[in-house]
Amino acid sequence: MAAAPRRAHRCDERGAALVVTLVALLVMGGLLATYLAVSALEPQISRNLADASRARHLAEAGVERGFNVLIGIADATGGWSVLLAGATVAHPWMPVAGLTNVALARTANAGTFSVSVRNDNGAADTPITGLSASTRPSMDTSPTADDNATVIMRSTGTFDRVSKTVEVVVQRAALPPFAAALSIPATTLRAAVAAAAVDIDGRDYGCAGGGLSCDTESSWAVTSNPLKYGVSVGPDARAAIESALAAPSIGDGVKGKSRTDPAGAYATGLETVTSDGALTPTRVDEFVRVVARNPATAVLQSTAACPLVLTGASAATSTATLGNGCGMTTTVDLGSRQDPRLVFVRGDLILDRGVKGAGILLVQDGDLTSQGDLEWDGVVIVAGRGATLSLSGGGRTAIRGAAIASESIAGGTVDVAIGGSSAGLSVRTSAQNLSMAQGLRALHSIVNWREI
Amino acid sequence: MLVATAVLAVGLVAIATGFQYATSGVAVGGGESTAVFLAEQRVEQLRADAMSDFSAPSLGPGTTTEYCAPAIIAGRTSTCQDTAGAGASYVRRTTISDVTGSMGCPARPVWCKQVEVRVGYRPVTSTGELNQAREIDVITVLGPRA
Repeated sequence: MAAAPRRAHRCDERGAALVVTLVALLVMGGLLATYLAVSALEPQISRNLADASRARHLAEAGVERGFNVLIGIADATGGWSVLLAGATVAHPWMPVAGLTNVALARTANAGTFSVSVRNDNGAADTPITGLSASTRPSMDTSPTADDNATVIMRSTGTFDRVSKTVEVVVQRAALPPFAAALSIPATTLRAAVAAAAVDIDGRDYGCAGGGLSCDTESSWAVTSNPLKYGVSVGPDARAAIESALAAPSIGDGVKGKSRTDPAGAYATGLETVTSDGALTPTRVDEFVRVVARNPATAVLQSTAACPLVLTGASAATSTATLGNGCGMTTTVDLGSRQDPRLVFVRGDLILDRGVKGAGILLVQDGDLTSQGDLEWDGVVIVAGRGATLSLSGGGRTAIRGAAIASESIAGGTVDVAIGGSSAGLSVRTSAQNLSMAQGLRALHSIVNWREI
Repeated sequence: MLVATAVLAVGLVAIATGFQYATSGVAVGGGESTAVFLAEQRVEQLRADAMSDFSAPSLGPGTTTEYCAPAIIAGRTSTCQDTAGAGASYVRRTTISDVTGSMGCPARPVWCKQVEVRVGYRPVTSTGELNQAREIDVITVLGPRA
């Protein structure tokens, strides 16, 4: 009778292994299901990553091409108002013509990008532009009028239903206003013109042919563009420049807008010397500061002990050797009208033998001394503290565009010396070359970047 | 017991197969992510070159091929070499071409370089096949800063 309960107990255990097995399989199956779910997500995550990466780089491509378009466009004040026509406060974004749904790859369905711009005319833009009502320049107040040469550009890359948008701030260092071929905004001027003749011409010159033919001075002819003065100086410096240009042989070489009859024909001599105050040292310094602040600007440092000397060749060359007498020697490309450059020197710069270039030649806090021939298409600026423009030796300096000698220190003196042994100074106004200089890439910068 | 053993055996085979399938899914995702990072690494290297010197030899038109190991990618260190070495399971092809004459890309000077980076790899599959080559690509345009 005692065996019966044991048999019953054994009967109760039958099937237990199967139950345990099923429970174990159920648990493992649950874990596997979770793992499968995760593993199914992984390829999707990586696919999204790949698509997002592609879309973002398409957007970056749009930023580069949009930036290039902005460099090539400027209205009369150096801004981008022309791109903002039709913008409103409610709809400020204006598409950049030719940059909507642009495909990069030759294969189909490889994605596109679109670029649009808007003005910086709201307080909400201050954190990204750094400009407000109290800064200089200040932020704009209208969605259509760009007065501070600052716009916000947005590029959206789209690939396979994934979109990425990159927003940047684009700024331009607008060239100062040039009222004359030679501008000397200073309170005190020490000018000495000992050369037999000068050619300072406020009439506008242009070269229709383009290319290498424009290397020949005779290819440049007077255009119908508005006249500018021959020389513009600070209000207190007019007597000094008039004294320096008093000799008829020299004064006759100064041509341009008449100060007594601005709407009339061009005048010569002291009649085209003005002190209109359109260009101030502050404005020049502001321009120089903005250019120097651009991270892309390479500033060539010159010191009193090791002054920079730019040596050309007997025939003027744009590939000059830059040395400082202290072991530094390098080759500098001074640019051409097709590929203008910014040459920024802080400290003294001596030009030796024949040198030519195009773009902007800027000397800050130092003397620009030309001992040979200098041909420059664009703008030559000597600014900062202790500015001196000195032409000596037997060379000739020819600038087609504009020249500025400006002094930062209040009451400081600008020295302009054209030595008797030099072959003279020729500065001719050229809106064509000023426009080329304004289109310099180095005057443009992307000062902010964010993905939204 | 016999039934339980049979059920367990069948269940374990099914779980092992599912586990293998799931692992290959994770590996495929990991492989593609690595390929994306390798492509981005190359683009950023070239972008850095363009910022400092747009005429740098590394930005010259043409196609270069590198072989990359799936190691940790950090900083400017690269796991890629010009020759196929042991462990290099990613092939990175970079094609650079000058773009001129289209909107935003003037004819002269050259301000646009189109960069196309393709990274090819062979993901681990549940069946162990190695002939399923995959490729991701990134295309962008670089410009000079000065």
